[in-house]
Amino acid sequence: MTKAIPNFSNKTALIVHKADGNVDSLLSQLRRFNIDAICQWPPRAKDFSPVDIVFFDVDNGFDGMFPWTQAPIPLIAIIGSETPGRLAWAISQHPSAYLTTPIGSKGVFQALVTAFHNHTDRADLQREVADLRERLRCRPLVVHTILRIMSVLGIDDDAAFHLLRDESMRRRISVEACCQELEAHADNFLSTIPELSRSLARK
Amino acid sequence: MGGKAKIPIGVLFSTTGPYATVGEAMLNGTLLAIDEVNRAPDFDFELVPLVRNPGGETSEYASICRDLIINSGVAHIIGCYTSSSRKAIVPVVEKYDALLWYPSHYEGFESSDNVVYLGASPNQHIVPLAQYMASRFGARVYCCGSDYIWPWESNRVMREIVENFGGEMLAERYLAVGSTEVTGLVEEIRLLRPDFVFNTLIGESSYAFLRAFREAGLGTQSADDVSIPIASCTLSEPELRNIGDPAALGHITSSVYFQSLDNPQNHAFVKNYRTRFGPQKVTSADAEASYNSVHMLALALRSAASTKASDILAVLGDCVYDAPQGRIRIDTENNHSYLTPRIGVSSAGAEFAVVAAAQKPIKPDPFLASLKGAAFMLDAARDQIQPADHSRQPKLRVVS
Repeated sequence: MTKAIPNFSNKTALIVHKADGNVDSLLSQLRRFNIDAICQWPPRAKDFSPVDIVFFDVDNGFDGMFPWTQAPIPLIAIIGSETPGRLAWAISQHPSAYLTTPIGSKGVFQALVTAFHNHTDRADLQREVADLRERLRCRPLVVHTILRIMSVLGIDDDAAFHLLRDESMRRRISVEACCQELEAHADNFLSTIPELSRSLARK
Repeated sequence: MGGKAKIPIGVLFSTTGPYATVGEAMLNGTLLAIDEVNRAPDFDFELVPLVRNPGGETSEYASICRDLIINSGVAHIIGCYTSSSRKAIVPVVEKYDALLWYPSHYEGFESSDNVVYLGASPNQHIVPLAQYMASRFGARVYCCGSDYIWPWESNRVMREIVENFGGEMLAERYLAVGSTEVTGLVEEIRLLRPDFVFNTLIGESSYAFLRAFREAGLGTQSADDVSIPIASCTLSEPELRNIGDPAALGHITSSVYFQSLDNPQNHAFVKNYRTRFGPQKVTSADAEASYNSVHMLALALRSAASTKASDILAVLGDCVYDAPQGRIRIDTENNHSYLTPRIGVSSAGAEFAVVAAAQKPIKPDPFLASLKGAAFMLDAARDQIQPADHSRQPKLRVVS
């Protein structure tokens, strides 16, 4: 959790909401944070590259109003109606923070701070999950490699795993990636491990 | 000649309890200004103060405020010192569309439509102080404060600025409000030898700390080798009296007002304050801000010819008042005030010598949106102008 004072100066916000009193209050607050804001209804933006954050109307929102399945920038949902259907739709857009109407003179700063934090957090988590899924996919290969090492060197599974892990560290890659590299050398694979070549030569 | 219209004004300060000294200063500033407005021929109304003392109990503020609005027809309240009392009042003034005129400097990050903030925002006192101290003494800071939101948030700003100067926050220590267990702090400072101390202790805690610091020979007034300056945003003239010389000497304070400011408005203010409240009394930023609140309210009442909050806010941006600190006006983008930051060093006679000042009043930035480009200070001693970076106006396009 950063200790820096949150600062949104010169960021651009897109407000996908009909211009009304709530939008006026929202714009008032955004001005205090030096955020440039554009209000647009109905939604028709396709290029979001100049935008840093999107506020969107949940009451009048609909599937397909955004061109993504996964938003590349933080979204803040503006909730009016608390009916289950509207709330479920809001959640389905994967916003990083929420505001409720009527929007007064507070609430937007906390929504901005939490939105940027949660968006980054979620992206980090998704990257980690993808990485772990990939490593899980390689599990049979890891087992296969350990068994080969055990068989060729006549050592037990612990020793085989330690050897594999040490070699991975030497190459500065994951255990799974190391198995893939060793496998690429087929029958010669153990000769690519310097430690092993030396001990095989001594035998 | 018919009688003037009477406008009831709520005056809500705790003159007993832990903040009595500040409460008294704010009450005095308020009453002095109300007298001046009522005597002046250019107002066709009379302000009637309805003074209430919540005794330092946060829970009393909301009910007193509600009572003033509903039962006494009050549309404007001059009041509050702590953030907890102000936050208790905000929902009440918002619900009944009254206005709270809040005279205290505070940690910022708020901007209610029903509050007018007459005290310094963080960019008008903490930021100039941090820049002044880091650029003159070095950026290794030791922070000690009372354990509540104002010190926590002030320390955050201090940390960010010293780190920008390539320094660090060596320690961050908090004492319970009212605690005088300061020995550990003093010893740790002796050990760590910071370039300066940032003190956000309040009340008795602060007085005990400054005395113990002096006793330990660490202060800038001592004859020893060690000379560590103490900087704060809260040390004020009445407190210098409480602490007593020599412990009260040589401390650096960031404030938009000092009693020693040399201009005709301030000389008149100090003279009138002493005439009304006693020749031994000293003015302070708290007293001046309360005084300014009433004068600004009076100007707005005259201009709007109405007491309604919305009518007052509509004219407030155009009201300009020549306060004891200099010209002030309200920024209606955030209801905070254009004020002039200054740095003072405490000296004999419960006064501060001004050593640096901004060239002119600076725009309030309660959310520190322009922290990176915050204005630097004019060094009054060296007469050296440093660059000021004005926050750029945000663009706004409504496309439909």
